[in-house]
Amino acid sequence: MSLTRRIEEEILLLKIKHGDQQAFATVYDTYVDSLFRFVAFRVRTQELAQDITSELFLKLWQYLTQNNEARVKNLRAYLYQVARNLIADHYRSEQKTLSLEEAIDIGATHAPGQLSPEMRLSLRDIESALTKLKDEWQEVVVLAYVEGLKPHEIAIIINKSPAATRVILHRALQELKKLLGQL
Amino acid sequence: MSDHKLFNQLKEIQVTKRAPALWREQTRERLLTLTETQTSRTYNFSEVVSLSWSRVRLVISPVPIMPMLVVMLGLIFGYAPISQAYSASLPGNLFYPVKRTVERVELSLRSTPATQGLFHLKLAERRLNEFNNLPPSATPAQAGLLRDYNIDLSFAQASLQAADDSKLAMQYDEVATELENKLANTKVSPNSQTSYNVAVVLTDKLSATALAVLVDAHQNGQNGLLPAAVAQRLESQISKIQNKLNNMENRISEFPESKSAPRVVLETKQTVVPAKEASREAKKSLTEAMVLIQKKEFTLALQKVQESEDITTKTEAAITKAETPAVATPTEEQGKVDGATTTTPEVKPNETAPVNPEKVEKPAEPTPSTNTNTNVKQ
Repeated sequence: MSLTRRIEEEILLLKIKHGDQQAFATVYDTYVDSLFRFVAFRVRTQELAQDITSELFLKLWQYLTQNNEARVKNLRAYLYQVARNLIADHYRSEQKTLSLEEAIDIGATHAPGQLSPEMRLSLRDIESALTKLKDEWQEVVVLAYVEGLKPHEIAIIINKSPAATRVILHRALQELKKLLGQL
Repeated sequence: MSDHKLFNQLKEIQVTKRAPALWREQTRERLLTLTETQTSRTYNFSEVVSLSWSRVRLVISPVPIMPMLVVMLGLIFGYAPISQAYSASLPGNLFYPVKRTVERVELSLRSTPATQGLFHLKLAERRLNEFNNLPPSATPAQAGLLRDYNIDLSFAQASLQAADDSKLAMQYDEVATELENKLANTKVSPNSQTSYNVAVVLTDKLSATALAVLVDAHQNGQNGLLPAAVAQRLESQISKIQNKLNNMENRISEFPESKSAPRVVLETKQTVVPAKEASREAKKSLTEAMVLIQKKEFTLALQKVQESEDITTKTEAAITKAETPAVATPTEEQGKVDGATTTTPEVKPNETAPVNPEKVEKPAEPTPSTNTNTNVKQ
């Protein structure tokens, strides 16, 4: 994250701590799409992704305004961490029902092994393959290649070392290619 | 498919897969409603310091460190050549970006509309001085400076209207008069003419707003403004408009008969009249204003002055338009000043953003809110 952006976020966080709704709205506008995407890949139903996304912003507000000792060093990482926690809570409390047909706009058009090498891979195929990855691998691929985060930033979110994150990223990418019939 | 293509397609997901727009907006509203019930907490001293420091860091973060350090050390140890070079620097000079950055830092440390407005005025004056010190060949930089002058003046105008303070208005009034005099003596190249015309209009408008605040304050018995001082100020405004009208009459008389005479819309009478008649109407309003000043009815006098000023501006615009032959649009004034502009686009929540002066396309049509009937209370 650039220095300017980091300083801007420090200012926003301080303002939110003091009940500044405009600052809160700025954070919402900045992060809502990326967080929704992140959650949507994990929970795979639109309604649930929307619920979790809105809940996580509310949690941010509550944490900052109701807790004098609240310290958020990296806002983006914090938001993704909260998203992961909420997703984990959801799976703990409800039985996981997995169905590709329930996916937002994902529909597998081909079984991975049947894709011919000449055929151009569509975004749907890639999204479908992403949903088949292990949770953590899916997260790192989405964070790295969809959201554009660096490995050291992802490491903070998934609570691993940067080196371990790079390894996971490499393995996840290999698996994704395998699913897409490229290996 | 290569890795590169795969990465590109993954990146595309960012564009194609977004939260539904309706849900996004509804959730935003809902969250803001839920958070509205919480009362805001005041900042303690350390938080104020932390916030100010963060703002300073935000402003200086993009600036190259070395020139900044050189200037800061020079200013701290009072090394005269560096201090002099820094304060006299012009666009294109090594220290100029640092000068503009330091101005931004200074601006960010001012927390009230009044102090910000005064600082914007100071910056406008600096830009005008820099403009006058630039060589005639530096036309892009000239255009950039005039643009920045207009922006600073717009912010100053907004701050004056937000503060609505007669002491502030007096300070503004003094500065605006100086700026008017400097502008009158400024030599402008054809490329900068449009920006210059906007600058003149904005400076007039600032002066008129300050006058309106002063008259209003006197009416409300604020700050012990002497009637004589208000009368004198109104009279000097009248005299300014009178001079303009006299110049215009010369132009009207020299207008070729072969061309159709310029016409002006008189809103007070809901009619369109020739420029000559509009000029007479404007003079009549000034005469009425003088009578009202003698009777110490300053608010009504100000209304008459504003009416006259409005007619004068429109008449001048009509004459200029009629005089100008149909030519290609002048080249765009895309002047870029070395170093970022001082004025930041940030608008604090309780302020309204000023009108963008650069949206003015013709010199004859100043910024939308030239109606100077501001702050006039009956």
